[in-house]
Amino acid sequence: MKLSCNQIRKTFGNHHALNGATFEADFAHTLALIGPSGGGKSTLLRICAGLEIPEEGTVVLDGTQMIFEEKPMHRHRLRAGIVFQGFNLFPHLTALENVLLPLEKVHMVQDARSRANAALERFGLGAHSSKKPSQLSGGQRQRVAIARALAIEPDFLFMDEPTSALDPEMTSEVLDAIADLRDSKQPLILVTHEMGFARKAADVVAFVAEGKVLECGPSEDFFEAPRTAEAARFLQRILKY
Amino acid sequence: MNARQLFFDTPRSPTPAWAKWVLGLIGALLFAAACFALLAGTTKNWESVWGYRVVFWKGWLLTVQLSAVSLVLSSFLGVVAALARRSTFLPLRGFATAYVEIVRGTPLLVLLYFLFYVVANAAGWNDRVAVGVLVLSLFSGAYIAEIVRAGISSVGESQRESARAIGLTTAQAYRYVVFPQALRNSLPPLAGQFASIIKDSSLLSVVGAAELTYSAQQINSATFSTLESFLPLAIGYLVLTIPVSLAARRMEKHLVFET
Repeated sequence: MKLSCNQIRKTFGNHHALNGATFEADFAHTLALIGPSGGGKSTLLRICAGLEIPEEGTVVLDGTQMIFEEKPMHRHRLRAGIVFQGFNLFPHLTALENVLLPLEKVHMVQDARSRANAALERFGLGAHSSKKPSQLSGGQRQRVAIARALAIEPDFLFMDEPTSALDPEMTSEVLDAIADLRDSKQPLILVTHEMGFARKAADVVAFVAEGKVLECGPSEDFFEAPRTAEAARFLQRILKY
Repeated sequence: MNARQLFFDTPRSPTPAWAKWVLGLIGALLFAAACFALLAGTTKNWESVWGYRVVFWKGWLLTVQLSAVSLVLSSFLGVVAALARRSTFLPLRGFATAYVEIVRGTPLLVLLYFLFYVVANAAGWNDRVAVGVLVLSLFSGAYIAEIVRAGISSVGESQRESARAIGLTTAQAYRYVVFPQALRNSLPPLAGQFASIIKDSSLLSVVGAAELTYSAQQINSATFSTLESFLPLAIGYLVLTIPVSLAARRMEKHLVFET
């Protein structure tokens, strides 16, 4: 899987979220975007997922250049599974109905119900399929969100800080589920604050700070010996406690 | 239990349920006694009013019918106006905003006078009931538009984003994600508005629509009996509005449990 971004610029009002982000990553399964808060990594992920339009720049994902207009972006989102920090399940629908909605209404899958059940089963949620999100724990909710994103069999999976809203126990429960995706060779691009997880599970890491991609390389190399002073300082600060 | 508990229900010393019933019963008896003292001297004329029961019954039926039609019509108008106020097309948004603000700023009685005696009259339309229902629907529709608009806004940005993320089109996002949640959030105020439609329909009597209030006025002027005409009138409305507000309360409890 290849992702290359060139000179991406995105501003929100006066805030420059991305200021000429440029990088190229060639990864087998998992690319992790890491870096300090407010550095622009979530914005970068959202642009690649087709949720945000940059003012400038190009993105080439898996050999296809993204066109930043509503129609082609909608088509792009049909091939993407997206998981958010705040779960974003639909509160009026049960876990099963949450997974079914895109299968039935967007992708017109014939055996939607059995596929949705299989997706929930895969993440250990078989017993919870008829519960509403309010009756589930945070970890269960996020696993339903992952099941919903995966059930459509997406070409790419995007996750924006999938564990930031969870306590440590639920975090490891969700990280286990994400780590299992490796075995199914599901291409995954994620933003994470879990450095241990990024190191273990990601093939390639991109370090995003101050609206730029300062460094991008194999995960092992990055954590062993970061090439930029900013990344070294970041790792030092984060690994201090 | 002490005397204080009989009148003050606090979390620390709650009034027992039986005491509330007893208190309620005493209150009702006192009220009845006061009414009796006030009205015992007046002469009652139930027999002659009973003779007009068909007029009363017909009026009540018309009230039910025009309330029901207004309910459907104003719900439709309200949803359309709420969506129009969110439109990106400015003339549509402006028109909807003007409708909602002008109607909400005008008393129903004034609106009735103006639309019936000025507009409908000029158009040569003299069907009192039809014009009345239309005015009532226009009036209530403006309030429902605001309720629906608040309901739609109460569905957060993250829900819309999530709908976009799973590939729903805008229309699908409204159909499957926004409306079901907006409706749930709007049900209690909507129920209140529906009760208002029933009560406000009494104003149609001023343009001569033969609904419940009009019938009671007719019976009153024919029999010269006030209590006997207007007490059944009040009861005629209460049997319609109390079930609506009970249903609203039940829905509210249900919603609390759901979220």
